[in-house]
Amino acid sequence: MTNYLPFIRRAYVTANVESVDFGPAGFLYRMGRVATRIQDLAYGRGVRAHLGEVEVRLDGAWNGATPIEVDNDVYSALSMRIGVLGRGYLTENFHPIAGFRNGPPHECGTWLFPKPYTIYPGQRLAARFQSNTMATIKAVRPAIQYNGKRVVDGKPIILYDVADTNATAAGQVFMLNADTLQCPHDSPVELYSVTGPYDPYAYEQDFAMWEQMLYYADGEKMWSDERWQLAIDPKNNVIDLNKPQWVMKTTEILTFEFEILPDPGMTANATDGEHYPMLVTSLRLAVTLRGSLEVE
Amino acid sequence: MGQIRRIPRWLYLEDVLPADVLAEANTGVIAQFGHMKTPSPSFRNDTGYPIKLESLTVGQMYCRIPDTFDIAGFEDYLHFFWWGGFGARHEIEIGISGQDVNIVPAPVGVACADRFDQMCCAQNDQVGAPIKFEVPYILAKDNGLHFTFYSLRDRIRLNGDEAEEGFPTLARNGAVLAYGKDVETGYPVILSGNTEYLPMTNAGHDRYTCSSADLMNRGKNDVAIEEIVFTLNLAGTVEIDEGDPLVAPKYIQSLNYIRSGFFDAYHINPILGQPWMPGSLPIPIGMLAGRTFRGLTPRDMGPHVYTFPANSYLQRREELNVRVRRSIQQFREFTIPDTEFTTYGAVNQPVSVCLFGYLEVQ
Repeated sequence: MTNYLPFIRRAYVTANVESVDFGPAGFLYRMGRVATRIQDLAYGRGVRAHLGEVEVRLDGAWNGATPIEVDNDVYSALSMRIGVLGRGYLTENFHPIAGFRNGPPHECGTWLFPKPYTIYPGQRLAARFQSNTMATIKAVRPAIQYNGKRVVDGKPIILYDVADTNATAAGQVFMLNADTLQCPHDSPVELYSVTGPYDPYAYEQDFAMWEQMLYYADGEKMWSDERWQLAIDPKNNVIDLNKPQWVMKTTEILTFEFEILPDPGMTANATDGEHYPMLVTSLRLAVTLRGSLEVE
Repeated sequence: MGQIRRIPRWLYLEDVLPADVLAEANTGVIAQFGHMKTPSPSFRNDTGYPIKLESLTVGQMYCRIPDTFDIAGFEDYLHFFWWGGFGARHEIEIGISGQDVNIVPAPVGVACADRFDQMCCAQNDQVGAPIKFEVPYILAKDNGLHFTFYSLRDRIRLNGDEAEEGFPTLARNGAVLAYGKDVETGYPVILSGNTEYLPMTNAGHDRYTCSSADLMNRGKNDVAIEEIVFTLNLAGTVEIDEGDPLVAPKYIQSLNYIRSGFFDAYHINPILGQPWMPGSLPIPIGMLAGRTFRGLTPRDMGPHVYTFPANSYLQRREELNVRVRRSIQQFREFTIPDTEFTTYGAVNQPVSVCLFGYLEVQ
């Protein structure tokens, strides 16, 4: 029986400022080209991966606790191109990251599965959260919510769990595995999405503040790295790939290459009208690929 | 009968909604609300093929700001945006020659889809809109796209003064990206192009044309374009010092202009074949794809998107008419420099209308 396991892969790329010029528009920072790969998607050869979306954003842990303002600059100034290893890049030239963005903005973290993930009676989902730091963030109560449909009668169902308390200190661990995350006894459930524990208006939340692990219904981890920043974070730079042409074998490698354009890269200060350099240090980007693995 | 191909088509119009007619000068008594009807033949199907109607986007660019940049004026200016503008106070009628579309005039905000206020983190400074084609556009081998990105800066008036002292030189560029696939192999295809950064320092329309090699279908097969993303990228972020009464409002206003989606425009067409945008006017980014337009827009100024009933067609030689009428008088507005506030509706308003559909070519 075919099932579709949600998967995530994340790659980090560090881009260093290579040279500084002084041009007619102000300081110009050049960034060398750097490439990253969404590595092969495990589970053996020949398995098909339905790519759902790619998200490119600054890695908050690397770039500090106030990434939002920087984000705006970076997504306009930083360019990239997408390719498949061995088959070349889809374009010769780089394109602003913001220009790739065709997915809707999400104010809360919701991961839509390209294909429904079916769980069966007796199985139970679980999630683990660990707070990294409590600095500058609002208190958050870890929670997880799967949205799905009962197979036998088509009725909607929500599988969820909420922590007993807010996170109040760094290093706290929350394990969510209540009965409410259990598949009902009388029907399999097709899951379509999972939503994370976010105040939709808590803009300042940095996804580096939390580590997260989701577990499949058979208890396996959804990704191998135990210490991982949020997988279902509030998205801000989504490239929707949920189309037939983005169904690939798991042995294929999606490749991203980044470049900063020399033209932009300044910040105008309204108070004194001066322009200040935008990128004064290296940046680390987190590239996240989400999708569904087609398994038997 | 050959196979039907659907070709995206945007028809765009900018017009003026006249001021209300007052019963007597210097009173608020209105004899007639201002109204406008799209002039013929703006939305006439003068092709040989029917146009499958998809959506109609209306909006009002706002180009008047208070005379002085003091804090009091600034706050009122913000109030104007806060209170809302176009959707609640105007009625719209849409009709096709020989048939009705809507029966009675309805407020713009009711007849058209509610524009979700998409102010959201980390997207303040990029203005963009993707549009998905109902049926992919087939771009033949060796054909391509080319586009021109316009900065419609001459629409921005500060106190009616062209000098615009202190206007921030926010460079920005236009970027177009098309997602699609190879029709034979099913392999993903991306076409993309982006212009140089417009410096925003020249009077009048600035524009850059882009005909990148990456906008060409250089493959061996036809390409099915399924989606296009129009983006405007600012070159930097303005840090607002809201404590400065003289400077901060200017920057906020100018950013609002840019983010409103009315002051940067596109003209995009395939190199060969039926054009997508046969008109001569560049189409503001907010009007191109009003449903998905994302940017920091003043509340309720638009774009508002009317969705046609399924299988609505504009047959050849038929004409679509849109009438917009101011329906209520309320709210204060800044109007003429060196005068006090007047009631809304006492001045001409710009109105933009954009029709989107598919030309069904056999």
